[in-house]
Amino acid sequence: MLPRRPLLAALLLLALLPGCARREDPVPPGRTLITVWSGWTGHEQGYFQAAVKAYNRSQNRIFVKNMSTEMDDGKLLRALTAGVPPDLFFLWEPSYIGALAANNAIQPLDLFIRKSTLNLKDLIPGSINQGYYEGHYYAMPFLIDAYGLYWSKKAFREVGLDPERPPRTMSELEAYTKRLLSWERPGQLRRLGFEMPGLNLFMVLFGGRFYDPATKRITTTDPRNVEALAFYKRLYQIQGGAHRIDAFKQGFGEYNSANHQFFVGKVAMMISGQWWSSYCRKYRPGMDFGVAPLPYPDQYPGLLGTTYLGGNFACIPTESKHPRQAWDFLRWMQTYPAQLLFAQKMRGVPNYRPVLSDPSLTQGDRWSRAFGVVCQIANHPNARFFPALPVNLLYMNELDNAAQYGARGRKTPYQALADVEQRVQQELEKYPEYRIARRPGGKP
Amino acid sequence: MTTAAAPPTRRASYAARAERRRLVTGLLFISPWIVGSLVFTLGPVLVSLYLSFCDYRVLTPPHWLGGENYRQLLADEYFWRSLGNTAFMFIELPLGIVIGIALAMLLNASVRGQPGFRTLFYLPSVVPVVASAMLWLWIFNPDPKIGLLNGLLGMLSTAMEGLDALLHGLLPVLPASLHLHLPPEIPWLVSATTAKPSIMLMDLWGVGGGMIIYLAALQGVPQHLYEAADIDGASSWQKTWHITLPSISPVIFFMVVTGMLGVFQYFTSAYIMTSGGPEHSTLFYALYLFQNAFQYFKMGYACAMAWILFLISLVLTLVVFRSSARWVYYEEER
Repeated sequence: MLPRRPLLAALLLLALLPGCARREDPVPPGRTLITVWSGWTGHEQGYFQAAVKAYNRSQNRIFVKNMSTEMDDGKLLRALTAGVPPDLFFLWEPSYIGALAANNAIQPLDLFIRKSTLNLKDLIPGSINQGYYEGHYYAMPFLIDAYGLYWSKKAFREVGLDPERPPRTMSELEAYTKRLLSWERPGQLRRLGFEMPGLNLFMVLFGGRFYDPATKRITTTDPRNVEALAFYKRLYQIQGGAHRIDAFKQGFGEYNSANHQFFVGKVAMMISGQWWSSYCRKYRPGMDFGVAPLPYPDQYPGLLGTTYLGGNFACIPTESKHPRQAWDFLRWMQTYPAQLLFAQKMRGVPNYRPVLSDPSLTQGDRWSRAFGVVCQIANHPNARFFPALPVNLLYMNELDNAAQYGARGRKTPYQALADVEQRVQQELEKYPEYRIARRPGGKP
Repeated sequence: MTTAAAPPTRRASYAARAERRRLVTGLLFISPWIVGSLVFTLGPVLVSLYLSFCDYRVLTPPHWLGGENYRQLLADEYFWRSLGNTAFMFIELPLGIVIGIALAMLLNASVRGQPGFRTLFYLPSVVPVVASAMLWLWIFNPDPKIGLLNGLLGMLSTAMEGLDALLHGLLPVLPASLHLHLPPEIPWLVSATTAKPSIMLMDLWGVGGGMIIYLAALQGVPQHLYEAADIDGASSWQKTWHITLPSISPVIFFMVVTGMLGVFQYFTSAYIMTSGGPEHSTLFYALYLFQNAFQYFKMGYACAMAWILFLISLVLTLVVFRSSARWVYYEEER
């Protein structure tokens, strides 16, 4: 039938036009096409795309096509459920690794690793081990996140502290926090001495364990964790209490902006990832800041150099149509040129150790040197991470709750953590592989 | 149908065939809806009933558990907490109705600038929930320099103190323990005790959506009833109570039922503004259900929660329906 409404037809045609205008990169003949889903957006998407291009140029068998999704793994989970996953994907939230592995949604990479020339000793242990689940490696990192203590030298000078000397131990952190804290008027904060990070980070800093692989049990009530929460609460208390701080935090500007609390002087010290030096360069190039390893508890000097690692991890779905080709790309990511190329742009910490001290990354201006400090922090043997478990998302949420109840004094530190342990353990035991294990002497 | 009842003449059977054809055509026309609701609504609803008896982690096929999910739910502290939080929000329902009707009545009166007032009160309900949640995060900001409410409260509190001093100065007979007092600031969303009332306050800001429906209903109230009442010398209060409210009672009934279901599904603002905190005070039923379904890989458990919610809302809706015979008046009955 001829279009009886030319205007409507024209509109329909117009609607089709954008589809025609966007041409896809042609796949060179003879190459296997694999699709990768990644969460990097904006200019970061460009950085990853550059890495993909470099890989595509480096060989002539495989052609990688990157599909940028968003910083949310929801779509990916739905694709996995529906049985139509991509060949390879990057998780935005590493907490999913355990659940995906336990439910056979992703493949173990051990065979690939064994057959390849990859030497795991070249990788930061805390990087590859974040994807280690029940005896197998399930995920590969492509740069990781590592945390350091950032401080404002201006604030230090203001209160008469040596601006070049950050707190090294927890008691120093406490003393500095008290000193740097300032009030607008009674009850009204002007500046926090130290912005409180997540409780899980403090548990790591006190050497606490989240999980015991030997007994296969959740160990939230590890005495070190209880100590960590008690100290965590104290840092809240000396700064006016959790209510005051939470209220004060509501006035913080956007994280990824020049209005961040650290830039506008509302926070004197904080714990942040390696990206912070890029943020400083971008938003407050004039700001005098320092970065140092995280403080350790005075009573445990062996914990010197402890930090917390995170990152984005790549996994191959069980239903991937081209697992071998996907691995080839993963393997390429663990090479010097690949890591250097991506790290130079992304400013993530290379998980491939030889690249960590590459002068192009860590020398030069003060921001690069600050980045270099975090690279060294990441490489420390005391760098820790959250172990992959099928219940990690619940565990994280419950730890946030425990931090809230503990810091506000609504539960004792032990009770807050015991509640987490009980709840998470109960969920963990729904997975048969954790059901057999019992605490010696415990009830059957 | 008259044609079907007619004796089977040729004409009649022709008519019957035409009728059938029309039926088929009609069915074809509504088939997108029929297929859609059977396949995409009724289907998933029934599947969710089955899944509520299963351990279903989404990524692996479900396996049968029997009533285990329901047993665990009854022992789950958060389940009861979220149910309690949701029940608390029912306070909002009568508040919303009373304020909505009161506003509608005020805006029904013919005053100068009436359209302007109507627009003003209706406008907030046009704002999407997400946008208004973001906006109210700023309004609720505890810092009086940033948060609108605490800024106002701070001024009022100071004024109140002044007034208090003035009164005590003028009337020395006032006992020293008697004071006018307003808290200089309220922690709003930060404190477990004020978080839920804060969210309620925000929702009442959007009462204009209901108001506009009441307003339409008010304009449908037959004028002759008022005229008759005037002749009988009824006061305006009597007119409201005996004419206006009964006349718009079907609309109130509708608003009660939909509002009730809305409270049960309370989710968006808590998800955006507080994500269930502080101290679980805004962990609403739908939010906890969402966490189980889409974060903790406990879809079977979430389905069981959904079915319990369905049964609760079914029972409550039936109760309201039953009670409606006593307080809802339809025109034809009069």
